[in-house]
Amino acid sequence: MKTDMTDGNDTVILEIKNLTKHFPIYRGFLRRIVGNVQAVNNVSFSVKSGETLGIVGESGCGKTTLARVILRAYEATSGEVLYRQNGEMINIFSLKGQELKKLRRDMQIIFQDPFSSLNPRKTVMEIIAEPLRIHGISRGQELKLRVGELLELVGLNVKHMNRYPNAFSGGQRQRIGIARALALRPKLVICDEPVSALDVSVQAQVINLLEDLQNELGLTYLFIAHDLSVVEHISDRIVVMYLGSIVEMVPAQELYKNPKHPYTEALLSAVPSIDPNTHKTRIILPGEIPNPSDPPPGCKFHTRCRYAREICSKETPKWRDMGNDHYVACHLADQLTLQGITNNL
Amino acid sequence: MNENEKYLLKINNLKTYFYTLDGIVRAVDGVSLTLKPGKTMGLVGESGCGKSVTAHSILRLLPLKTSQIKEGEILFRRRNDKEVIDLVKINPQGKLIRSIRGKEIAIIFQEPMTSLSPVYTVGNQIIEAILLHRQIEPQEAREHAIQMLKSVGLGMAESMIDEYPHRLSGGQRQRVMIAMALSCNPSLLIADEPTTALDVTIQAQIIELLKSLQKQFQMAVLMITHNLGVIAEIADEIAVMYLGRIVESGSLKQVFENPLHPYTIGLLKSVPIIGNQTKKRLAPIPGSVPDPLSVIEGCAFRLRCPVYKQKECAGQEGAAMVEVEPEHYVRCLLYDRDEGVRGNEN
Amino acid sequence: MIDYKRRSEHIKKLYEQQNALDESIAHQMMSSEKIAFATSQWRMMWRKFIRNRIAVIGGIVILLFYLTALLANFVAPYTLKQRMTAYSLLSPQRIYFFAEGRFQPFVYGLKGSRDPKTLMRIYVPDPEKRIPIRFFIQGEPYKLMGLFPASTRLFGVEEGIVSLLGTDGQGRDMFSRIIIGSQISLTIGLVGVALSLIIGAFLGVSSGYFGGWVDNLIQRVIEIVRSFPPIPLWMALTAAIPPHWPPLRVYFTITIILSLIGWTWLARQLRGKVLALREEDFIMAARLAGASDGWIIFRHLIPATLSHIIVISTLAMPAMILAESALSFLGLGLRPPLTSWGVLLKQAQNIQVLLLYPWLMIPGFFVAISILAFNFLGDGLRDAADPYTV
Repeated sequence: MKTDMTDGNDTVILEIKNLTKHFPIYRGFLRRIVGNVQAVNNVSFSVKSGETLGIVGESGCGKTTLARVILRAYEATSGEVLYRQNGEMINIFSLKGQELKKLRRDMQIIFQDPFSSLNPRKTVMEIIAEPLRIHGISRGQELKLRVGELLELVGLNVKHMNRYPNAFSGGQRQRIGIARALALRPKLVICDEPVSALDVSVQAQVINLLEDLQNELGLTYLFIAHDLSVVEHISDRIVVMYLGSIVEMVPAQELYKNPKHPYTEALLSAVPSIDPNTHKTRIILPGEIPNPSDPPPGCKFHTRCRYAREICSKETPKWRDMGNDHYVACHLADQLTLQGITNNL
Repeated sequence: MNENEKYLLKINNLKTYFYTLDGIVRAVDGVSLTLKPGKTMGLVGESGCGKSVTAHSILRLLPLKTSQIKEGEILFRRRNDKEVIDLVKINPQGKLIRSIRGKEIAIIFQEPMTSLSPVYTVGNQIIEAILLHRQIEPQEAREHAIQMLKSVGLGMAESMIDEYPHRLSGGQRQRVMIAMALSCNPSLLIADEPTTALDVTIQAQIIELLKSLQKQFQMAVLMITHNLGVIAEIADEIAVMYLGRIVESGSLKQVFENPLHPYTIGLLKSVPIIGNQTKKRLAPIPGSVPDPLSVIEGCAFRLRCPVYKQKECAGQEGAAMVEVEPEHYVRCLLYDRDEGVRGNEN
Repeated sequence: MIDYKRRSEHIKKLYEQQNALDESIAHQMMSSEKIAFATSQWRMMWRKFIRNRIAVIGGIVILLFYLTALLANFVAPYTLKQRMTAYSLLSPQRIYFFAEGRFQPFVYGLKGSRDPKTLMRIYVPDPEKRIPIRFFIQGEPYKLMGLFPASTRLFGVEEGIVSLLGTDGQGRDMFSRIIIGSQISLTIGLVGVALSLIIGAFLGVSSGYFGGWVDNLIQRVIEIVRSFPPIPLWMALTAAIPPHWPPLRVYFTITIILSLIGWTWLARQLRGKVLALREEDFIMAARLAGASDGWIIFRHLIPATLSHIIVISTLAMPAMILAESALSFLGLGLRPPLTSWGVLLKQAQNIQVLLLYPWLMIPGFFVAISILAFNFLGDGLRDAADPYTV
């Protein structure tokens, strides 16, 4: 079955083109639209088969909305999402009914909150079996067998199949969520902050599990998080988002050494580090993230950028190719020398 | 430690228990801490380790019906008369504790919205806090409030003071909380996960702010957090808690550069560091934090401990704190003066 | 089917270790009770519920009421229509439980006479004549639960009268009438709530789940229904019932009328619950796995709201019972020969009755007790219903 078309090294599995999602704001008795929260604005990128693309940004940057638009939990305002199915790129926004249901087998999600994401009234067996039942894939004894396999896959005891979620710890619950996401054997898994609700000592368990599963099942991850150190650890390439737009797209090893966008630089410097060997100068961004319903003109970051010039508040910066698969949206990309993190190891 | 004069707050063998329908939760089970004036102590641990309960015990903010301080003392040196009082012995609803709360020991919480009233303006709430503890005119208090808002970096303080809390962003609210906490110039500030709900760049702002305010106001800070990075940025001293007990304490440098307790080592190893170990397998602590209702004999960490030895660790009272080097303590049954903790790699 | 054989031995070992550890931690550190109860929602609810003493008492009282209503003809010593004209307007009799140191309940026989001034009938107990109360005595034939012909009654007397709660103007035993009347009073609530439940659950869940214009429409309808004053509305609707209808049909019509107004409250409550549930990630997970709306509603939303539906129904019962009593009391609801607590209370409509024959108000006491019991039970259930939030 395996063809080079679908499983090659650099095959693009998902392509996002000019994706925009605005949420209307209603006011008053007649619920008139008085504005738009511009959650995702003209975002384009592509994901290669088998890689982990990290998406990092602060609250309100649109990363979760982006994930949900890709999964068609929300309808996009404009733009396209293309997904490779049987060697062809299909526009998933044009899918309906059974076709959409079929696509859902390929794309799954892992949630942030291990409590809200599992129905407390169902047993682990029922939770993991649900996607298989929805798609009528297996039933009866076979279903049980498959759930057992999935539990084993994520490192849980098969004997606990009939327990309810409240018998498990946060980390174990997160594994149950991962098992459910993998039940349909998806190719692309969107991980929406999968470790940020977990205890520090347990985070590493789940990160390791995700990495093992990727190696074993050849999964492609879209890994969304606000914690730069986690994203940097797990990702091959990283997309940095600010206020609904991508500001920088960069291979993970480049990110900390060689940031090209002032926002990335500030983000890197803001991450508190436990490593006494890491040296950096703290850049404190002034002010707050602007309201996404009324973003600043030009470069959206100019209100907080310490390098901002006149042009930044007037023109929206274009994408620049900095070489080495490194792209940035900044007027001053060629002129600035930004600080990364240096390791004196 | 040898000179008793030096401490601001000294907790001795504190035990705070909760009585729930399912049984007794030994949330704090023998914690001892010493805080020096003007220093920052970081209290770090995972959920349920008792770090917040320790803070609430200091201020006697625990629910009266379901909890009790079973044992121990919390010695606090008052500001003016240098008198030392035991906060455990005083009435948790009395006049004395109320004159200490806010005025000498202030607290800020993780989610400022829960501690700010939505129906009063920011100014009203700060002014109220000031008037509660100081005999000054309302007009004077308002000016003081504006000044406080400015000192926490809220530039538009004159207009901000008449805003309602819900109109502010998370970072601004946390700043308001800090302004309110510092308005009476406390000698101790307890910060209970003050940056956990905030974004990284805002977190960096708040950390810098706390650091500069600490110098300016000459106060001690008890910083409670689960984030080792935040601790590393701000603390002078650090105490690591696990299941109601401190397992290791010492200066920041001592604990981070020479961690001894297997739990501390595990915590430090399990966090990915930027630019350090990309795609390398992380070293998690196995298992998860046990149920708070459980009673564990011997060392509470032994079931997750990588160097655990059946004979030494189980079936005992648990280890005592051992002073390894000056002011660096560790609570591990496997600690040996010559070999360190036996079994630890490096 | 899943090929994880690629997993290296080293990593497999790590997972096994992890597993063993989790297991040992669970066993050594979790109280065994907690593992046992880390189980279904219903057991958790039950555990919490039985700790609430008042709610349990309420529940027991309601169980007793319904049990009695079920076996009403057996428990009542007399039938609904049995008239003992010699003993009309008799006040509640005193029961003596012990005769000569033995347990032998009895009542005294009565001598009837008239007050020479007021001409009112008065009954004087005759200490000479002890009438023993017999258990499982043969009485008037009846059909148990409307099905099985029987004539054995729980208790009764062979001569004279035993009247625990007095008699009415036609010499009918109030105790028997209240017990038998409870059949209608208590079931009209059940049926009414069940009907409102069907309407309310359907509209409430759709309103919350689909949102948008569906929600808007349903909410406006609720507001309109709610803005009618209930008593005139009942009057209008009951006036439309033709007087020649058989009692059973009247009974069902009244129930339908009550539930047509009662569903709004239920719908609102369920909508709120569904709105909150809709945001839960597990609903999103099901949707992203390809589940249809029907799947989500029937497999997630309804089971999740079931406990709330029970609570809401329990709390809605008093309103139904009260509404029936009020309607019948005002002469708008059920009419004799149907007998309910409301119908019985109709006799106690004037001040003279209240002063001279206060026992005719006893049905009101039963209304109050049942309503209190339902409220206590409902409150207890509500507190227990969400075992996951605490």
